[in-house]
Amino acid sequence: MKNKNTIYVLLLLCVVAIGFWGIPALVKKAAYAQDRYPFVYYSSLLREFCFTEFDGRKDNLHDASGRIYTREQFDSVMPLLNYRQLHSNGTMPDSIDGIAIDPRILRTKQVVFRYSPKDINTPEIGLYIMYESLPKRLNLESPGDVFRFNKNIEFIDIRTNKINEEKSAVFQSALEKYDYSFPAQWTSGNLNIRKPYDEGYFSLDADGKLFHLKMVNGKPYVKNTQINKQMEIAHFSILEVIDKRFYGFVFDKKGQVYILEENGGNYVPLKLDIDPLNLEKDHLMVVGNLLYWIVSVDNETGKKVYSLKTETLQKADECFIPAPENRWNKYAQWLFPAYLTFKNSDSNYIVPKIHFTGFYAFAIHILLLFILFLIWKPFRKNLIFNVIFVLLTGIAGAFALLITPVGSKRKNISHKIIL
Amino acid sequence: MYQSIFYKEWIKTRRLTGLLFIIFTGLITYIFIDILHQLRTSGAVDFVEAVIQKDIPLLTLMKYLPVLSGVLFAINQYTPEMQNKRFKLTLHLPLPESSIVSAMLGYGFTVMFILLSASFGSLLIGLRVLFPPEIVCANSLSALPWFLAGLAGYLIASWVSFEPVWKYRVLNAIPGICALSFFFIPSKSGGFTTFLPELIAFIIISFSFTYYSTSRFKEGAQ
Repeated sequence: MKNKNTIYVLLLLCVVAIGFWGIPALVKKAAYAQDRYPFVYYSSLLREFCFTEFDGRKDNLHDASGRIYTREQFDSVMPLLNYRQLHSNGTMPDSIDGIAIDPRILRTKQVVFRYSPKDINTPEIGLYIMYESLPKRLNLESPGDVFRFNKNIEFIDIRTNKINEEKSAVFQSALEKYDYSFPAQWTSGNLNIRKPYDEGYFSLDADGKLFHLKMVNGKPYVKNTQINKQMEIAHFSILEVIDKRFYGFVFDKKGQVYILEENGGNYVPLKLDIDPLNLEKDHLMVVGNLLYWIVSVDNETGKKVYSLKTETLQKADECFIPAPENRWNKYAQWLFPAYLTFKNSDSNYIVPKIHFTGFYAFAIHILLLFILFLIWKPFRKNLIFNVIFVLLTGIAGAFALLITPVGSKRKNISHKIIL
Repeated sequence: MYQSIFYKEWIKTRRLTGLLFIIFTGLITYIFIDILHQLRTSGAVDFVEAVIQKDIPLLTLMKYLPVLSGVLFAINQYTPEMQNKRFKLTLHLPLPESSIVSAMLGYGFTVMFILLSASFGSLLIGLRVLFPPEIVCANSLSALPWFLAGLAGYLIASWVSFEPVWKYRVLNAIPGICALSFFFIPSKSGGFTTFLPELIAFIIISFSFTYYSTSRFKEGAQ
């Protein structure tokens, strides 16, 4: 048969590619342990970071100065985190820094927000739900239609699966009136009906302007935030916080993070006093209370934690925790010079990606060559090709040679031709 | 001569083709009965909102049927040939070996392609009647890798079936199963859009694997 050697090489390469994924995936499953960082919180009493380290049996509770605490002491030094426990014990302080502590206010000032690169690297269905932002009843109600927002805005009646021309025209003309340039680049909203209230959507138009769009009393509310004059907007995450202090988090193209506040009908970005983020790599978590926001940024190198004053978002303190050594990384560099993955923590898309680990693995490859030479006779038949192949591809290549038959016993083919 | 080969293949596979047609039709009908049932019981608004908010796939019942059909079709088509090495007789036909294999593979691939594309098309048309195009698109992108797995499953099973040595049949099945698992990586709807070109390239490449097995068969590997 013509091209038999080409097919053999193609077959080998396919099996090697599968081996580059399958064998490391098995080893990783056996060896991988998730990076466990200590839980870090900023004590409003001590004015320094406190750490809860998990060692499997007993938590190690200490502060940045090295003082060790019991669980009860630890609750007391972080009253804004453990206020429910302290209230139940009757040990909650009446005030901190001269500010009266009221559990209801503490609850309304709580902020929890996460950002992951997956938020920007994700496929979207492209349909949204416009809730009534001023509902007559307390709970939000389903509107009975969904809308698409790209080349124009169109509302689709769910029951009939047809476009609601009238409502679409009203919203379309409202957007055009406020100079919204279609098509939309992206639209950000919270589709969850179980939110305290609704602020609709923020959408970036074709000219890079960020618009606020919601439905009030059945009518469109459209406003240009004008913040594109201060920054190049990369991403927006809406967050309906209980105290309605801000609309959400804005990320600019330089990686700076802001909250978008309202001031007298204007939209005002307030910058978080942290280092710029790499939006493709860094994961952000914000846990805020009445006095401080604890902001964690983690990536491959480690986790950086900032405490920011709630009012001004200016930095009060910061610390860095290097990434714990991962067993998988240690094994991978000795076993595989490269391996293949399809999924990663920074994207919801499936993308084949080759990870190069270094050159240590070639030592194992040489050892593998000796073993194959000694114990597997067919390996010696086409020695030069096999040596080069296994040296370059290692365990996956040896696996491919072992399972891919070279020729028949009666008539050996291809090896010589391949060389 | 080609007509005779196609007729031979049809004789071997007609029962299974009919059975697969019935199973696919039955399952597609059931999927729509189930969707209509949910639209009625949960309410169209709540159901569609849940599909959008939680990215609920609508065609999961169809997930493994294409790949099982592809593998079964190849086994049904090639097992009679491989029993007692009857494939030798086919290779004695006055045609080049590669033409014979191409005709056999072409027949099976075409039947699977027609069956899978007709099923996929029916599902999309049905969904389009009930849902906006965005939901249809998201679900078709979720289900497309499963239907491609049907074609890949047929080609991989053909490669393994034609391998003359049992030991290597088992060994070849290992990377074959691993490769098929690529079509079932869990992801959000649309997550496969970046990976579809690689999957299609793999299907095209895996066409050639059967030629390698038949070549070994002809040379009398044992």
